[in-house]
Amino acid sequence: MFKKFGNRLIVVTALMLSVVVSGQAKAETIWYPLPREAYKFGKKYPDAQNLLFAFDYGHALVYERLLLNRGTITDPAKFERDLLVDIMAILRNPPNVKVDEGDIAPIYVYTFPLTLNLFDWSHMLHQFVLDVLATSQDRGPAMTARINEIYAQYKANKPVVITDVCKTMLFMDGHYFSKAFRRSFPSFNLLIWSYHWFQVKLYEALMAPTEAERDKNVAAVTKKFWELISDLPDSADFDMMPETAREAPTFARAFPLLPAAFDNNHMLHDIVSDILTSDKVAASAIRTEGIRFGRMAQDPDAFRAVECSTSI
Amino acid sequence: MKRSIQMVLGLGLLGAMLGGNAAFAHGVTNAKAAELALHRVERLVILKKIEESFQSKPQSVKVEAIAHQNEDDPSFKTTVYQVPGQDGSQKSIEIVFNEEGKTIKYTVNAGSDAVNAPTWGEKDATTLTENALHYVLDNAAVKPELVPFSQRLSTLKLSPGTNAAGAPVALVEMGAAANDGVLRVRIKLDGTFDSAEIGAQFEE
Repeated sequence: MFKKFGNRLIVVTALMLSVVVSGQAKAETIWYPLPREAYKFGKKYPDAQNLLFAFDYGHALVYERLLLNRGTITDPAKFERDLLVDIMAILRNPPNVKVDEGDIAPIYVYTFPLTLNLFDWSHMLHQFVLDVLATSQDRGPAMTARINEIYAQYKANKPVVITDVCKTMLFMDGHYFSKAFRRSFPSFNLLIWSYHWFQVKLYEALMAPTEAERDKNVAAVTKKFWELISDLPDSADFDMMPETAREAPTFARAFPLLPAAFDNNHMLHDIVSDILTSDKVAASAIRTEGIRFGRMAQDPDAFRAVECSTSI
Repeated sequence: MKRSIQMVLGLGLLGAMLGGNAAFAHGVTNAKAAELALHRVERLVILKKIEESFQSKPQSVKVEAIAHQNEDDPSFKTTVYQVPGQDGSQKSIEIVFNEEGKTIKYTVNAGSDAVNAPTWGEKDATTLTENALHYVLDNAAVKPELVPFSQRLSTLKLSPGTNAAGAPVALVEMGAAANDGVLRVRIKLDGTFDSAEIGAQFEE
């Protein structure tokens, strides 16, 4: 009897373990199988695609530099200038594949395990939405359904999903460390907001009904991006982070859940920048704060907005 | 014909896409204009284009909606005043926005250096005031009593206050055109919301 009970215990334990293990596996940012449209945006618009790859590179690099130099930056303006020189070189000669953050920013990858996964998973959503918008022959219900299908796949991986519930700007700016990055490194902050503008505007560009118009729009957005960063900080006239529904109203009307999902991602990027810059965050607390705020980005009730901030 | 319509739609979309860096689709209210003014002040201070005291020592903000014909015309004039100086004069900055909330121009007006400006601690005066405006902007949809202050905010004033428990807070009082009440919003010194109510008149 005890032997039989013991066998059952082993089976139950094994089952429980497999659930736990499979749960962990699901938390990984592996999109399998890839959507059939995956990375086709880049085939059509290589310049814009490579800039997106460069942004990922740039984000990881600035985080790594802030971690490496934490507490020793005596001249923030010089630090920013040097960093901008390096990042501009990457933007002008961007990679043509997605870089692995672990290769260029190992300390950041160790320090922000949750936010890194949230960003990776969300960036795949960004990418695949662009891929569908750039290549779908149907510009109506079938395209909408396809993007919604991809979004459902994104949301199914709950451990790494950023909520699509609108948050107030206090999620980004209402903390003890808030605004540290933009105040210390204003040009770099405006560069990052220009990245966000570019990503969001690409969605709007690709909502045009004909391929010729989409081509023209993507070229125009890319040109405008270069203008925005041509003479930082004055060239990027943002007072606040660009928001998806305001910058891409056609896209936001077609896919009403996506703007908040993307904006929450962008706000989390700014939060990470502030955590890394603010001397109010103890070095020993950076990792736990990263996880705490990552969880907040996932939590639909944290800083929940009564209504989304833009009338669309 | 269909092709022409598509072209017009496409050109319209292109125009809308590139119309402005920080354009808002719709819905800039007076309270939103005040918030945008504080954002602009913060940017100008960060970029060292105006004195830091505009961020650390503001006392009040006035908002005027301007009648206009086109969306790019001046549509809001906001003025941020610092705490008065020894002679009673105040440094101020006027910021003009178009209908979509894009800054058209700003003008700094001379005045004496602020004296006896409150010290706020963890958060600066601009952030505390901005967070009080967030209370209005974020809740007007579900609190009808806030709508006059969101739509027709005409003036706001920041001063030190206390909450119901006697703890120090930032008191932001707001008045609205064609509205008799005064909205009092209390913000804790860490920037989080404390309480709010509508009273009869501004505190002395």
